[in-house]
Amino acid sequence: MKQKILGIASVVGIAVALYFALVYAHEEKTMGILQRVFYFHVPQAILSYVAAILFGLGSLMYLVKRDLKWDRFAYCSAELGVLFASTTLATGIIWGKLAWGVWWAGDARTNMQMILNLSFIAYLMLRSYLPDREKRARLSTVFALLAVINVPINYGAIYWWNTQHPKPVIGPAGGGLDPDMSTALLVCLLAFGVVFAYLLVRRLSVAATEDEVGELEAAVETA
Amino acid sequence: MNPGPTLGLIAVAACYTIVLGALLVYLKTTASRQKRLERRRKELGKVSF
Repeated sequence: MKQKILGIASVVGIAVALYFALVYAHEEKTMGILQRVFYFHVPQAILSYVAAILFGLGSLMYLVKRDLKWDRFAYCSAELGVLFASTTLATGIIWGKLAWGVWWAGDARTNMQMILNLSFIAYLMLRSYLPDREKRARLSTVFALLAVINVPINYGAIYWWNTQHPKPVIGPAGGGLDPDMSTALLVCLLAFGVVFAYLLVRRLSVAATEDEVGELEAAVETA
Repeated sequence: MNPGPTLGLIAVAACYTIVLGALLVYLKTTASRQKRLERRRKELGKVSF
């Protein structure tokens, strides 16, 4: 039931987000229509940070409680981290080619985002090589630490170093956005937040079934 | 900085398609994985019974 409500809210949210991003917000003067990439790119980036924080939280809770449900939570968050970090990079690359003239500027922010994505992927790869369930959960937590450390450095990169990536228009020292643009960004962020929650809930349910099937297979083998 | 309306529109369409497409593919993969696991659970349930 919870999944169904989140699913419907996701579809409605995406439709509303498309309206706000493409119709409601006025066209920016300097970049023209290209600026509309921002309404999808920024929420993807923020949610990739959220995924990294949840990934770290799940791993930490697993180390403390030794309950496999927390390992599942970390694992599912990491998978969503790959998804959202990849879409952040893809949309950023396309925008960068047209705005800067290069596909990859190689500055601190873009490199940190790539490292974040690679730490999610490395975690998932390591897990697939470890057959023992408990050992897999324990050893792979080291990548959660890497991802969590990445988030503040990734966020601060544009303040600490001279980067090609635009300075933030929201948050501390932000230049500010016109009200309709802020509303569009907020609506997109909320819509993708609901989608993120829906995907996480669904993936957690699949992960629980995976563990159940794994236990059944082990029981059948030993019988 | 401003690539013009045509290139800009293509870029926006490409970005939105990539994001929504990736989410849809992930959702479909998760759903098919769930179905496969449910089937396997039923098979194993019969074996252990």
